[in-house]
Amino acid sequence: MSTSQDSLLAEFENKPLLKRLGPWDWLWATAMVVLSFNTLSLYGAVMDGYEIGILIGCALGLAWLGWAWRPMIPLSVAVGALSLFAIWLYGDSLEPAQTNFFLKYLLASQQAVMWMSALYVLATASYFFGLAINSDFWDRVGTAMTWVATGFGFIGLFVRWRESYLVHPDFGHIPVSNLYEVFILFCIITALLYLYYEQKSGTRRAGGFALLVISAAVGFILWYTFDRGAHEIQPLVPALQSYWMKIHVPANFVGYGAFALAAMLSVAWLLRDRRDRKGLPSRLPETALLDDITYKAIALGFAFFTIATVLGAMWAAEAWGGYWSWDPKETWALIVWLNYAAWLHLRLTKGWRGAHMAWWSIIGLFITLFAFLGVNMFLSGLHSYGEL
Amino acid sequence: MSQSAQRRAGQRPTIWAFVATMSFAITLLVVLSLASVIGTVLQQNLPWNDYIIKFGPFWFEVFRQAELYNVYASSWFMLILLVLLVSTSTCIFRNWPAMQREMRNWRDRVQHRSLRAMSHNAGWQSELEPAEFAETTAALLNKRGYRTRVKSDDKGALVTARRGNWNRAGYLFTHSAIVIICVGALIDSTLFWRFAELAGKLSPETRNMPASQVPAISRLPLWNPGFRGNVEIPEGSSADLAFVPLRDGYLVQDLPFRIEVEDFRVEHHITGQPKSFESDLIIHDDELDEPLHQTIRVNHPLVHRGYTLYQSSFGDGGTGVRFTLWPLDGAIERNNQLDGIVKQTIQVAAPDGDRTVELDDFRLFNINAVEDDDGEMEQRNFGPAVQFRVRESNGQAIEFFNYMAPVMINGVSTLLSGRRASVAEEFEYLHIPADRSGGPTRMMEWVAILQNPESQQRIVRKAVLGDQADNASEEQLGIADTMSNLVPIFLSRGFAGVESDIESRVPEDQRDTVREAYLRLLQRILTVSYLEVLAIEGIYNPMEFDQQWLESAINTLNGLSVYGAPFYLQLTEFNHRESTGLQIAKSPGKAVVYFGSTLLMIGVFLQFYVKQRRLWVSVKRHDDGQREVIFAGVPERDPAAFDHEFAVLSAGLQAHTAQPTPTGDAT
Repeated sequence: MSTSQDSLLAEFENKPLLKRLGPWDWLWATAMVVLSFNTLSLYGAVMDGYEIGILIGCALGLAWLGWAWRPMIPLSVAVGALSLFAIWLYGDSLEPAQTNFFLKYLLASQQAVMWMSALYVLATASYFFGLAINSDFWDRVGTAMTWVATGFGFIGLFVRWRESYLVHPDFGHIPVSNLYEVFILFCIITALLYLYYEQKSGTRRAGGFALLVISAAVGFILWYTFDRGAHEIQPLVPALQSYWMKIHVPANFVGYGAFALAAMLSVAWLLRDRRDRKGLPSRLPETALLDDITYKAIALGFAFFTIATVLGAMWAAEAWGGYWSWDPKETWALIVWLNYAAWLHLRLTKGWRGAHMAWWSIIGLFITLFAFLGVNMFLSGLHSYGEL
Repeated sequence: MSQSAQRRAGQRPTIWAFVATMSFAITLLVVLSLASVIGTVLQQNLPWNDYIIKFGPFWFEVFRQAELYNVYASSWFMLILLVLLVSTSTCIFRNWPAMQREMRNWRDRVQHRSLRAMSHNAGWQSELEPAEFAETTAALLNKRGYRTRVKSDDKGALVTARRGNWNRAGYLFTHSAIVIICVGALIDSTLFWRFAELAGKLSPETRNMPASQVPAISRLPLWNPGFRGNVEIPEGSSADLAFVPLRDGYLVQDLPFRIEVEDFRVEHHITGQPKSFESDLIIHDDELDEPLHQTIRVNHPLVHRGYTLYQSSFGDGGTGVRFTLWPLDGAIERNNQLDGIVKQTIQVAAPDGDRTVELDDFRLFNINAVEDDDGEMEQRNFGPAVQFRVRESNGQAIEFFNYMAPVMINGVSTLLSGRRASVAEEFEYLHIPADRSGGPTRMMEWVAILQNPESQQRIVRKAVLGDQADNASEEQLGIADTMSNLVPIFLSRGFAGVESDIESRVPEDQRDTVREAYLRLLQRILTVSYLEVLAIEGIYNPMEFDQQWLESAINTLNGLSVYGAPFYLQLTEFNHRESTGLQIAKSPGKAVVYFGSTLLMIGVFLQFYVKQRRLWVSVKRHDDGQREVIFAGVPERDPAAFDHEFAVLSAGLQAHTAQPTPTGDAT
């Protein structure tokens, strides 16, 4: 195949990332630096050293992410612009949420989250419909809706961040402090990870599976909102008032999101691997590809989960007086870590592949789910921030 | 890892070979996970009594022997960790030398022909001379991040290329990280105390006594390297020790400095939830030129000489409280004022046996969820409250939780007094409608009038005979007096008592009639007595408030029959004194653990994201002048990615070195 030969050749001639960058890339990076300096000049006075470090880290990280994966740039620009627009519309009071058209129907955090929820569910349906009727068009619609939903999810969180300060200046905090907020985070991180692998692998056919777990999370968010009023902004308990929350929680959710994605791709793997490879399963991506992405997702998740757990230990040392207290949440985090450590050992060292590894990765999701949700529901401990 | 162990052929399998196998390591990880689950399912480190109640004496003992009440400090859990430590170390010691050799070894002695046998290989004809070919190829590979070594002679050349040695470093980092973290954790563990216990030099104290009296065998010396303990210090007091919990007892850790607590503060959000917990501390230390003043709060501990002081809890530091004692059974003296201090006791004399009031706690803020006027739940501060137990001489006690100020409940200003028979229960609240001044005086006056035998007789007569009571005959009065039983029955057993009295004395077919009559009479007795109470207050024309009050108060009377104490303690004054709960820790293993953790994080990324590759490009000039190239490699870990990389390199190298018309298939 000459085309693939050409692309292989093109890849061979490809320069390393830094030498590949064009003027737009540098503009992007410059924008990140300028924006973070702008933020510093606005809020530097109320930020401590760690928070300034986190801000700079975020700016550099986002710059790099945009270079390494271009679609992050338009996403960030859209999310940034719309979030700032919403914040500007709010001004200094929550009042406009009831009166302003854009806030009332689109950009107030609760509205944005509802749009996110609806679009993720529609994207799931669209992906499965595309798979069922073998239509690329519907797959592409699914991808588009997933992107927009992810954008709305980010806007929802950013605007909520501002809203928490508008409710009361003392309440203000990054919205990763309770189950409602982290479920949104889970949805958008899982979706971003999926979109990344979708683009890298060039097939959209596993989309429905990835989006299925996101839709389940959306279901939880909706139940949690309408049944429990969980969307209401509450102040932070003293134990959570720390810069550590800004890094510990998101790092954890990259892990959770990646593990969830891996499990869903394993489901697709098991369907694809069935002996009668006719009809719908035969349209799924090749098992080798699914296997590869599953591995990559678990490796990425494991790496971030390791960081999150270590950072969590460091935070615990500061807040609870010991880096490890065998609190149920800590213990279950360790169990999740050990589980995936074992999975990775067998895969990397013993070269295990196939159905049992796929099943294991699905079971892994349930272990993760218990660590993430079950501990809060059934066990008591120091981590009792998100009780149902 | 098992493979490398097996690879060394001459070696006999040893126990170490087994310990270092992957299967053993995986088994360990699984065992460790399962063991960890136990401690999350069974709540750890509760008082042993709780376990006895939960499991019964037999299973309590079984579980105690299995050390299930503190799984993570148990000997078998330590053993698992130790085995993991040994297994991982062995794994490193057995594999690392081979890896190092592998990192240094260029493997540049492969034969041209043997490259064809490799899983990935490609061949083409080159137009370049071997030396030039080698140079070009090496340069191209260098650009793609490979390190290369060239061996050439006039017959041909071999370019050996490899990258990703850091991946192997990642292996070393992650696996030694596990060992280092385990070592750090062992340094901070209670392992050393266990040895001291076995040697008979240490034993936890289980009795409740002042710290100064705790014997030496339960004290940890100043040089003890690591511990995690707690101490509660009232405002204005100081302490130079910490209590370290151990199983069902504690150890006392002496500190080389004294901690004085100036003030403890809780700040609240407007919703009532706590916003911050802060303690102003002064550290008195001979090594300091002057005392160190510092405020600590949650997430912002104080570190002094390797000891870290954390804000961990708070409690009552001996608040002074003043009560008005309102007798509920008429036999105790009235208007008795009682003074006490929280955490101490007060004696109350009563005809049926003295009571001890054990003052357990005082709470300034009590945030409760209540329905507001629109039916929405909201958080409301009910204000100060005192928690105490009233113990009879036979040891039985009932616990109370009395609020100081009245709270609006369903539109009625109500004083709340919670009661429960055991800690396992929730408090059940007695609602006492407050009088106009917000106090319980009217209620207590009413109870007193109803209970006093003289007024009781007067009131019952008035209720039975109405206006004719004053000039009634002896006979009529006698009839009235037969009804006077009703009042004590109602006061001591409530409506249920009246009902069972009817059931025991009246034939079934007449009960409805009698019940109706009794209740009507009771209603009249209560109204008559209430009007007397109002008269004492100087009220002759009851208003709506007074009417409403009566309705609530009848329920209160009914509730008083099961109150459980012969008096109601009204909190009237207090002098708040809090104590701060500090956690004090010294953790010499922490730096070790953090070092290990950092290695772990770096190592994980190296292992996943540094690709480890080894490739060969050989060119051979045949006698016919053809220059045959073989490009080959073997995937090490990640076949899918290697397939791709090999295809890219193969395409690129060919494009740069092949003859204009490539021969054979490229891949």
